[in-house]
Amino acid sequence: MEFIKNTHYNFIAKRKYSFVLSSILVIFGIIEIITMIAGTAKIGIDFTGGLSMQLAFKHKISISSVRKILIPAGFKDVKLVKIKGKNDIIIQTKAAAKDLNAYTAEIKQVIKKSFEKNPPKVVSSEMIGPSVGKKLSRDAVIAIIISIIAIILYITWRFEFRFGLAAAIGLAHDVLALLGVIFIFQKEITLLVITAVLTVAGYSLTDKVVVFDRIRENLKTETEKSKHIDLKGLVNISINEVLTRTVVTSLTVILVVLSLFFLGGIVLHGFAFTLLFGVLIGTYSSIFIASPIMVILNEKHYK
Amino acid sequence: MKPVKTRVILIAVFIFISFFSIIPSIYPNTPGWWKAVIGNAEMHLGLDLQGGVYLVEKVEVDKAVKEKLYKDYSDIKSFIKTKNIGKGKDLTFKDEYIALSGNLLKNKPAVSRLKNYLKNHHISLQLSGDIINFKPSALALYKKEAVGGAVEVMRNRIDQFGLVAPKIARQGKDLIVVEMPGVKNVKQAIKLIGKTARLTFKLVDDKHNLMDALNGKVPKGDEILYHITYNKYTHKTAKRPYLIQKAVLMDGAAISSANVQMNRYNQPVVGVSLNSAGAKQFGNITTKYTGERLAIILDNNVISAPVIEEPILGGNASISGRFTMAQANNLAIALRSGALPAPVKIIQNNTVGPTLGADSIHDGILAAIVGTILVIGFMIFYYKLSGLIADFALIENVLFLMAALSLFGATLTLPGIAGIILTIGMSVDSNVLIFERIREELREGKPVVIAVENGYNKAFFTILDSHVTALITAAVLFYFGSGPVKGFAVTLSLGIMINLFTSLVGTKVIFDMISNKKELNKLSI
Repeated sequence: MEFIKNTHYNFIAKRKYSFVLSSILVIFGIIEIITMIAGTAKIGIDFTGGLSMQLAFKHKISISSVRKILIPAGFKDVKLVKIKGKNDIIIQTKAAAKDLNAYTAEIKQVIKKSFEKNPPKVVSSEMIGPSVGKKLSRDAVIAIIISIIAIILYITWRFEFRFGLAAAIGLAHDVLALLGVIFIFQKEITLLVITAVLTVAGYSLTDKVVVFDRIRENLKTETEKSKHIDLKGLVNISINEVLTRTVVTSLTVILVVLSLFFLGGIVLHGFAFTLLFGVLIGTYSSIFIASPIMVILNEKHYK
Repeated sequence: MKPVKTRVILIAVFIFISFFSIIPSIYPNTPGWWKAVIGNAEMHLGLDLQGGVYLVEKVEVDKAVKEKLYKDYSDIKSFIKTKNIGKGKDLTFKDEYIALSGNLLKNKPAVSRLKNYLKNHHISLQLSGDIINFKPSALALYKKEAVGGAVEVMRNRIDQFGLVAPKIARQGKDLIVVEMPGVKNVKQAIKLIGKTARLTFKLVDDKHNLMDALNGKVPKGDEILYHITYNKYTHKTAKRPYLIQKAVLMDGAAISSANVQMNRYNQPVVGVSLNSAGAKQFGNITTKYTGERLAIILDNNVISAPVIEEPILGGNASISGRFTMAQANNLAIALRSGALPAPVKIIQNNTVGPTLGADSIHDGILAAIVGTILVIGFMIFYYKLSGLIADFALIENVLFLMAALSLFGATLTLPGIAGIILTIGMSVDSNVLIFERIREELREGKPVVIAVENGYNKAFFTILDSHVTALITAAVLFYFGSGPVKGFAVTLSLGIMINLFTSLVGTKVIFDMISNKKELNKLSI
């Protein structure tokens, strides 16, 4: 069985389109970062501090009935989510400035009093002080920067600097475009989502390494044959040669990520979402972004 | 012929060891000798899977420092009064330092006597300019010890729950991370470990009017504290005020042991034994203040305030305060484990109920099984028999990963399960790389055996490079991640490392075995 056989697509020629598409995604990604810094983005309570509590009611429950109780009691900035197929409701709030211990107790009491005939049980609760969130976001930023630097150094060492630079640009693109997708779908940035972003960074690099590896190999045999090299053509051939591999490896990962997305439960939902789009973007950028950029960076060198 | 014997034996041994070490983690009734062979190593479920509490507590060191300075301030004040160096108003307590009056500073001999006194009795304090404050080095040490002490006290208290694998660790300057997986009564546990449990004995001020004090006229040196009672029928709490003299007569450090006893009305009381110094001190106090009311105060709550009927000299006393059995038990534990050197504040509290944990395990396992079936099916569909060989390596990969997690005694978290699932998807990638190479070689018309050899050789460095880059991110995740994210990083990096072996050695040996048996003219790929 083979999906793709002896392809001769001219990927490099399509770079105008891919650059436009990527620019749009990257711009959205930058907007996401700006809104994150400004504090208007959807950021999980693990970074902002706040409260998240999952209540399992004994009988059927609707969000509006809970909201009706909470708003008159003074809990206005509360987000309510109902879990499908269950009588569970998640209450979230970013009341970071208040005394969260007391706040949690108050919400619990108000609900317990109002639903005496449908008593809820606290299935899980998460209360995070604002200082913890600050430390966490700082750690996350440091983690992203350090891993990107370490990867560039490794690629530079294994290949050469121009490859490293192209991979780094591709990687920066992947992270920003992924944040762009998160912005478009208005997904919440949580600790697990950041973990997924970092995992994708590692994975998409793996993908680029394979393509670059083939480019390097073909460059070596070609330079032995003649001095003049058609770099565009060579990169195109290389991408086509490893195309099946790129598609199939992504596909196997997408298969498991899809099962994680649909079956893995609510806790891992955002994580699986980010992985899914991350793998798609990483694969796309190996072909349509990192490789054309490699051509641009190397053109002077081989002319 | 390629020798395969050593490799087959190696893989067989690994598979045997893996099964051997995984079984105690999944089958609780494994015989003891079996567990002992693998050093009692076992995979634990993280608290997001079995339920439990994750707490981050901030030690409020500054409050402890302030309290200590206040105590020293009282000492110094009584020193200058009794030695006639100055008057009480010459010293003012200012939270972070003690201010000296101009009058006292002018009196050179008095200042030098004060300096001498500090040097001999309060080594951590210094007289600098017109104030007395802590020496910076002493202050730093005190703060460090306060956090370290709090960790120890909390550990003592948590040990009383008898949990499997609780964790108490210091984080940063003044934070303590507490993980209690599987704890049953979450609310009570949080309350108990966070209790400052500072027991003090102070006198009730019966000379002044309580009503006046409540209206804002609190006499100097006094404070209003409350006795709080909870009515379990009406669900209401009642507060009864007391006017208390601030001076601490004795504190919990004098207690050598505490336990729950029954009084003659069959109500639980906490019996305490005092150490010898404490017994002497208590004897003196009860002799001096016979007839007055002695308030027993725990963390600013009045537990009881009995009248001292007669001097108590034996060093044994009991605290009664209309406790329930559980309350009496908690108080006894708190008194035994000692007081926290500084109050703590919860700044993060993740509580997961056991039902949610069970749901998460169920969902995670389902996603893993479905994902595995999809990948295995796809590989057979796309690469036929070669795909089946890659699937064998995939199963090996997961098996070895579980074994490694068991042997390291790792904690399996929900993101950790996600890491295993991701490993399943990524583990065949190396084989895809190799197979595509083999297909290329075959297309060029090379014989099967050579195509296979070349495929493995040419793909090797690509695979190595891609594994190293993936490991770099996993390592960074491990270093910066907290709790569950660490679990993800551990499974992911172990999975990647094991994959290098299973996808290269584990599949190649099968190809070699087949080609040893018969001349291969066609490859099912």
